[in-house]
Amino acid sequence: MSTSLLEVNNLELHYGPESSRVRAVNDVSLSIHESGRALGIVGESGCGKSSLSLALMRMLDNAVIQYSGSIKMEGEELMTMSDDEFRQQIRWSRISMVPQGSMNALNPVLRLGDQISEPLLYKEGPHKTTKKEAVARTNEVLNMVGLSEDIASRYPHELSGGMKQRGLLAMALILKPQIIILDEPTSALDVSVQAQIMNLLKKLKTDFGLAIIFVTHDVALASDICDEISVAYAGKIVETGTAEQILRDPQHPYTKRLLVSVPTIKSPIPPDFIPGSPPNLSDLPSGCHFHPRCENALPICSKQIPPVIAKGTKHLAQCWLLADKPLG
Amino acid sequence: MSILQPLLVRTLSLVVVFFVILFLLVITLGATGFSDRTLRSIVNEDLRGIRTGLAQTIRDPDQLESVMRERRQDLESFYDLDKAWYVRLPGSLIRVITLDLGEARNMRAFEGSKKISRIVLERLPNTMILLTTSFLVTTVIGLAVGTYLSTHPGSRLDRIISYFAAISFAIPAWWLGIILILLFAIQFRIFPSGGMYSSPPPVDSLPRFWDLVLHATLPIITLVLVSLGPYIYVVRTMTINIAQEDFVRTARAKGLRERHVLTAHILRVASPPIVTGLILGLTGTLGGSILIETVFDWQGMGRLYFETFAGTPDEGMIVALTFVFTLMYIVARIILEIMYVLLDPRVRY
Repeated sequence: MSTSLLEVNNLELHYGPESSRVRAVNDVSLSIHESGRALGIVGESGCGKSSLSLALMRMLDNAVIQYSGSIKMEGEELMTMSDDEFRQQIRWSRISMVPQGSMNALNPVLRLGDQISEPLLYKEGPHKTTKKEAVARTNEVLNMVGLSEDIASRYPHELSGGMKQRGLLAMALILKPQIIILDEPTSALDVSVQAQIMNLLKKLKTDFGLAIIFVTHDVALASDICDEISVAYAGKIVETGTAEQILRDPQHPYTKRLLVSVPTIKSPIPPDFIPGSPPNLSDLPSGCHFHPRCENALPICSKQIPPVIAKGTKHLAQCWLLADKPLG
Repeated sequence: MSILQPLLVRTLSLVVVFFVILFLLVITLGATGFSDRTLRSIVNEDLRGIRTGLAQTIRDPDQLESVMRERRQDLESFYDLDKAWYVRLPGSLIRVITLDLGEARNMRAFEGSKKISRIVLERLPNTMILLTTSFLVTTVIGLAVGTYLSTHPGSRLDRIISYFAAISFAIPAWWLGIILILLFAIQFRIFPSGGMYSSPPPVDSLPRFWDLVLHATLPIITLVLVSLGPYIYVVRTMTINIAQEDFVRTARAKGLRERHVLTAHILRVASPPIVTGLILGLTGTLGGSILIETVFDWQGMGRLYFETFAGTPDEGMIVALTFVFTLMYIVARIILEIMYVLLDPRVRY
């Protein structure tokens, strides 16, 4: 078995204080097998999606009290690296990200080109280049994302939303990373610009073999680009499978409800909402975290954490309903 | 969009401010009758001298009185007292603006000249020594402590500094100056209590400089202490606010050194308000320098201002000093406007 590009196992990220520990990332495992593949992470607001992307980049703020598990990239364990090693060797150079909230994600007083080329000029390590090479490389990535080179000298307030998003994408590509995390990359854009960005991402994926982790609340958007989808609920991955499996044959009750809640243009069936609200991550329900909102909950669901059950190749779901012999 | 246009607009508006202040000065001096009174007392004083002189040659009292009346008319027209203040004062303002400050009545420059411009120019560097040094010290300490606190909010030092900021903001500079004199000049005898040099002043340049440093220490400490607290808090709060912005997270995600994130991203964006706080603090100490220089007997422009009002007020000096102080304020403000436009590309109008 060849080693995966990215293999995450039992990743935990908890925020303090200890008395009200927030389990934002709770025993998460996921993988991307090779470059040119896209993994979608889908879930409601507050399910820990953004924390997961921060955890993968090891961008921890002071409130983090637990950060553990295993992140392997091409077989190399990243969790044992020191913070400085990780920052120099992994962050942005091998795993980069397009941050959420692109409207404020650019420094308002620096020119776009300078922000894009910054890692080439100020980051220690093998990427360090001369000013001239940095400009050339900046123009290259601007072309890759479909922006003209003169945009480099503009300030963020002189750019439209779509241009900013492309600029951020160009910024993420500057060090030729293998994996790029897109955190709600299109949520601030109108649909036509959103479509342009999605097409651009697909092109980057196929033309440059970029592996993508696509974090979104929008199942439809994820299905457009992702080869595999993981459904996140309350800091956990409750179901994972190929995009086809998740969309056509969802197993976990949460995934089913999530799919029904998406409005469709032509279907006469009105979208249905999920009753209740996402749980408080600092006070999770016992057993399966979804049981208070689940219509088919069994007595055991509130008592024990359900096992992960395989429903086909690559298709895994964590639910008591799928167990052969539900206990109790 | 050109960068020159906003600068021009702002400079022009400050020039307008400049004229408005001088206009208000004219109104204050004229409408209250202050100008008339001082000029009249000058005329009377001159006439007294003339009368004793004339009394020697002209024996006839009637003739003496008529000559005196003529002299009085001459003098009044010389001082433009026969015109109303709103005619007279703008004329003296125009002279001031064209840097023709005239002569002082009873003050002299240290080198003996009576010219107001010489008296003021002689004092200007002394004031600048105090203001620029305390400005630099405040900037350096404020930036260092403020950014340090921004990374340790809620720490013990942070809480202590928050009290210090409130005290520093509230305390009157002259009071603090007196307390420092009582403590360090009279009680412990570490620093001299006032003046700029010992008497007699050292002759060689190095001991002379050291003497100046010793004399400047207490006034500078006073000026720094009263402006530092609020400034540290501006730096701290601005830095904390900016550090939570999304673009700072982007900068961290790029794997840049934390130091680079702080200087190139956080402080760079926080710099316009920080510079504003600093320069407005400096213009605030312009007024404070009058009190500080008086308390420490420092031969600067503030002290001169005080001397001008104490004793017999000298209208020419008042107008000239107000002119110079206003000019310093306007220059500081123009520097601020230029820095603002350079630091923040979004400021364009």
